[in-house]
Amino acid sequence: MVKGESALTKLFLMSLQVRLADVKKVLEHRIGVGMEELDDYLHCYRFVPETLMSMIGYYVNEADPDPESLDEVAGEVDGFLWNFAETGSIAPDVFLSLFKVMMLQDLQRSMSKDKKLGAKSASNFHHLSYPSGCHSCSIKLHQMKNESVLPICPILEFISTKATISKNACQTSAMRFSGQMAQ
Amino acid sequence: MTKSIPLLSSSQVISLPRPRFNVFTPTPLQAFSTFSNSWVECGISGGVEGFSAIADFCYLLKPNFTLENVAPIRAAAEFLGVMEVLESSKKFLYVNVFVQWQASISFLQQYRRLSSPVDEYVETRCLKVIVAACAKAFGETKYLTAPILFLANRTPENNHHQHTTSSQCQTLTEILVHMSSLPDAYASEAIEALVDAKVNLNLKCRQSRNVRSWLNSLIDNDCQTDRARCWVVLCLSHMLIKGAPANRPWMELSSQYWCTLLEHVDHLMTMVDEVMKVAHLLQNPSSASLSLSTGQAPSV
Repeated sequence: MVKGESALTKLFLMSLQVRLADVKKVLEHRIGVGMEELDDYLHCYRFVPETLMSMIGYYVNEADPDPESLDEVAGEVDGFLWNFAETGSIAPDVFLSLFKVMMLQDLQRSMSKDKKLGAKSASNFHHLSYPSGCHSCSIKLHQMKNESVLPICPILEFISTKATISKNACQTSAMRFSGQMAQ
Repeated sequence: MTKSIPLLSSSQVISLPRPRFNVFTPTPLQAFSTFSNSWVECGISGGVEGFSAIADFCYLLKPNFTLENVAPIRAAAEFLGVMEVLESSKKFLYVNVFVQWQASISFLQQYRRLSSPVDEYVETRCLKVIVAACAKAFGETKYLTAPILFLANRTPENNHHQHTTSSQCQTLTEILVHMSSLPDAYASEAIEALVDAKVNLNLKCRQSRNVRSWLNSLIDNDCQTDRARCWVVLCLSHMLIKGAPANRPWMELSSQYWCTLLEHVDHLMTMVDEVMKVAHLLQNPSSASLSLSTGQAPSV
């Protein structure tokens, strides 16, 4: 009986997951392509890095943004990155992806027009490169270094460390909770 | 379990009035010889309770309807073709259950399906009442406002106006919260019907700058369970998407709505993921200890 109930709960959770994921995709697309229409600042909202990444993807690929609004969005993304890095809530690979999108745009803009796109991004990234509390280097960081995706800078190390700590903390809590439930 | 009933004396049998219906005329002995759930297993809708009421009715005892027994009695009446009981149960339902959304919600909250056509009868009508009330509340709400803002902005000059708008908004909030707290099958069906109703949230949110505060208050404070939060978010998101324009401007003037809902979807998805991970760990303690020892995240 208990097994049956837990299977039902699991099924229900899975169906909820699917429903939420479907809705999320549409919302991301709609907000992404309409990013210029926001009546608040983007960074007023608490999106997770993957969501932000997805929206930026839609914006860059489908919205055909003009340089000014692209600059504006770049500044907003910088705000997010700083916040993600501070709270350790971003995985290094997602951070890199977001950064790469902005860098790519910067490069394209530099080639097409002689105007710096993502100037704010570059400037803020400079500040991000010197946070305090960088101590160890994770496996992920080594991988990124070996892949030569981007030059290694302290912010990546910082994020990597934070992300690892946060992941371990979650696991420990989950184990403790499962132990309590078993008792 | 079979309960033995003492046989009736011949004088008692003779004193009973003649049954009204030829469709089914059980003798008292037949009617009450077995009191068990086997009625349902034998295919008699409404179970013991419903059948007993119909048997009583055959001997001029009118059913005493309550919210708990009206469905079983109606099911038995439908099964046995007792039109008078069908009519009286319908009247009872329209007066006590289908009359307003609160009553319909309460009825569905306690309803136990009978595997009878009466299930569809009451469920369809209850959901129709709830969805109509919700669509009406959306139509009547001019300003979506979180309660705290309403109190903070109250002044003698705008007191009456704000009180009116707030009570409309409050009604809408209450219906949404109660609808989302229904059992999942009902909540899902109600949401589908509401999405099909012609309520354009994109137009609605143009009229208010406080959509975000209202949404946060509705989802974080008014909804009591994560399950209800999921249903509310899904409902509003689907309504918003359905009424959205196909081309630019993508969000019209409703970006607060879009972004806040996405924020909550993000949060709920993370929560559902975490719950599933814990459920997985509880089911497979060995994988938990393995993941701890290797320092890797458990696979889900």
